[in-house]
Amino acid sequence: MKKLLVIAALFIGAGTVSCVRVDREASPVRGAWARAADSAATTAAYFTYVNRDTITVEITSWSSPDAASVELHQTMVMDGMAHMLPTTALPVIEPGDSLVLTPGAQHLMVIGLKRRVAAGDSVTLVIATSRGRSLRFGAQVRAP
Amino acid sequence: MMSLWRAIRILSFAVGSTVLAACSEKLPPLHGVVFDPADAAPPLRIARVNGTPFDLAAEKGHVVLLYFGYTHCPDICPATLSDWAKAKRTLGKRAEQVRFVFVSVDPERDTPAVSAAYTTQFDSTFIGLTATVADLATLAGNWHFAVMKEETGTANGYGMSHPAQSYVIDREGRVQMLFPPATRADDIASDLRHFIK
Ligand SMILES: [Cu+2]
Repeated sequence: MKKLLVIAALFIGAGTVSCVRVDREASPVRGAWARAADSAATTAAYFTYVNRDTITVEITSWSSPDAASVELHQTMVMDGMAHMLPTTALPVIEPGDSLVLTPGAQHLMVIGLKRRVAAGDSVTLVIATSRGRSLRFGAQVRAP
Repeated sequence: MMSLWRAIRILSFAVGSTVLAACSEKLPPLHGVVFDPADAAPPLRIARVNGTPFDLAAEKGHVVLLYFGYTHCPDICPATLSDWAKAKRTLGKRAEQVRFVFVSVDPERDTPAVSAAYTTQFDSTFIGLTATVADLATLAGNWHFAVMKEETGTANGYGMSHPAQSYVIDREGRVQMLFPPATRADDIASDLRHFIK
């Protein structure tokens, strides 16, 4: 039933914007967002990568034209203390699995923003996968 | 007082749902980690950006939500303060009985002004302080945690280890409970209702 509604919604929404919608549906990246931050500061970005492929996918690199550098980090809590460490291993996503970047866990560190980003803005992120695919997407900026 | 950390370890497996619920029948169960018994909060006296001290002992009559972090922490610290801001909005006018206090444990990079400006991004009433190096030594002894500078090879500069949870200090100045990281804003608001009038 839910599926039917989605299909119906797609038909209703058909027209000039339908191609864009189809593209968006096909992207493995979902719900990308980042926190508002000042120019030159560091922010964190979060998203979910859904591997709908039949083979394992590795994320091999990440960057942003809006920042000096981007790193994958992990926040860890040990004995009541929080630590933040760069992730050294490349994320491997099995078929049907997802890589979930979320506050308090794995996140992209977007370091040295080239401009101030406020709620409603977008931070462009680029990730490359082991399938030779480069994905460019916007992380919606939310109030800090 | 009993070591906070020993208490945390003892209580970390017990969800604080029953202890206080018994005293306040109409309120929903608690979500944070409850201290039983609740001991007097250790001293905390830190100069504000204007030079006057923030003295936890002088906040009796207010509930204090307290977090130790640093402004170069772009993940768990803003996530916590953002949840506080949501919780405060949920509480509405009753939130006036709560002081939301962020203490930076990174005196090298966070001046009191940086800490204050950072904190008010989340809510204009939030209090942002910076512990001096001397304060940090006192905090370590009183609050039973030791922050450490961590060189992890990131372009963001060094990291600071810091307590992951927020402390809830009641109107009588007792540490009543802890909110573990990622406690939902609604749960924070719901729990704070137990301690405000
Ligand atoms: Cu990080």
